Amino acid sequence: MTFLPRRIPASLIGLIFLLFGALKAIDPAGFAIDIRNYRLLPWTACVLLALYLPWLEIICGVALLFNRAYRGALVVTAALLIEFIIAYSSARLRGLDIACGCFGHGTQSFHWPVLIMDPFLLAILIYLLKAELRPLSPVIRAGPGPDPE
Amino acid sequence: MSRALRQALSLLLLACLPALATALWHPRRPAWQSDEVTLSAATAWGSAVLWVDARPDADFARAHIPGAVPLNEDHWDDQLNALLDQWTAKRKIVVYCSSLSCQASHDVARRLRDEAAMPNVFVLQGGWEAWRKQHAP
Amino acid sequence: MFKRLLLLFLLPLAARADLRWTDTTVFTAASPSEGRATAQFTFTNTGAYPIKITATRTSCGCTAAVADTRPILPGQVGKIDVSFKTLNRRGLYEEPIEIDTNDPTASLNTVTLRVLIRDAVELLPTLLFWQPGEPLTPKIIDISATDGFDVTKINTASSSPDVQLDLATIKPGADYKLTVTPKSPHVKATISITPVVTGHLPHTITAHIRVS
Repeated sequence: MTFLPRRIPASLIGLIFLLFGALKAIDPAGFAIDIRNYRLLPWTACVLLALYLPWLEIICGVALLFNRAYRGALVVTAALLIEFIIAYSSARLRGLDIACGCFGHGTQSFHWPVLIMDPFLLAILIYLLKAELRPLSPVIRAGPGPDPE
Repeated sequence: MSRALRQALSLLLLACLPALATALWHPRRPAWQSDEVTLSAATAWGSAVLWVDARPDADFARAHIPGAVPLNEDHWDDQLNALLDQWTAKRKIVVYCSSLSCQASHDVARRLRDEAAMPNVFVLQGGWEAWRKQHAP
Repeated sequence: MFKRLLLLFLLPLAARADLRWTDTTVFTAASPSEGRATAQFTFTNTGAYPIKITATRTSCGCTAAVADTRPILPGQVGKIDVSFKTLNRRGLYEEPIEIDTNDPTASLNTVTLRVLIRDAVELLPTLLFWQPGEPLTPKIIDISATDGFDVTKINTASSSPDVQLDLATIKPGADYKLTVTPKSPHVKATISITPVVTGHLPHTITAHIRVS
């Protein structure tokens, strides 16, 4: 049984990914333009990512919310955040002032959501993943089970 | 850890299905062909290119790509009329405005493509700055 | 370890002026005949120091931004009024507006105005052309009334006598078909399409005809 308080940040992150994935899935053409603005990939790759990434975010968000394929969802969402932080940092270093595309096409190029929120979420995900891979002591497990004494 | 990777792989594969559905049926699916063209590619088209300047009239009057015609949304109907005098369906229209981040060329290209249903409409990557850099004395 | 990471990210937020925008993207709709679409962006100074807008920049001459230039004290609300030229424009436009402030830690803000410009009717396409050697068969312009506009009639006129126009009503007030037939192998003409709309002044839309 998962340690109960960990469900709260996991569910919150799941909800964030579900919501932001849905916003991107509404306008994949716009999202492809946002990816292109990073000037890292050819157009075909931008289109493929614009078609695929929103659904990956939605599915991982649902997985975290409903505690299904939990570890896998933690790994994928952490990888997505790392990839995004690298891409955004690269764009900023090259002097590109672009809309991050985080919340769907047409959102403004305000920087604080990316520079503060994404590393923050990544830190939480790494904490959750480490906790998941290192099982808790039987004394504090929630739910039914044999008495440790 | 292997369980995490197996689950991750399942999620990665599961996302392919709705992505495929989006590619086939989403009303706002992206076009596989980009509307942007580099300066070198456009120049290689030679006289087939009709350059269209989407900048304000004052900027066009100061300097423009040789042979370009102005088309901005402040004077759309009059300038489109003049553009059509030089256009045929076989020519490739390349629209440019100020720079990498200028939106006007995309708006003008969108209207030529969607409203006027003109074929072969492109946007110059890098805009007027790209031309100036390559042709600086 | 987690607590240390959390503090690391939150600490820089504590000691600075801070603009909290009510909405960083504002959507508005207008028709070309209105001439201008207007919108307002509001923000609250949630920081500890007064903040002042020092400059605004728009991406084109089509957008004008007028900012509240007085110092905004902590807790106060400031605004930026934006207007966008709608004449001759159609479709969805996204105009970024950059705002400079005197806050050295986060001086540049960007907000986006999204404007949907819709005329009383939409023509598709707005250009009909016949290529050299192409038979002069009739072609059609679809005319659809936009939701929210009560179109009672469509008036059409051609600038050239070598173009024949036939307007058919598919669904009154909603859908029409304009069949255009050139009568000569060299035609350069414009077609004026003027919908009569209840509660609105007439506004003519132009379609172009080319036969070469």
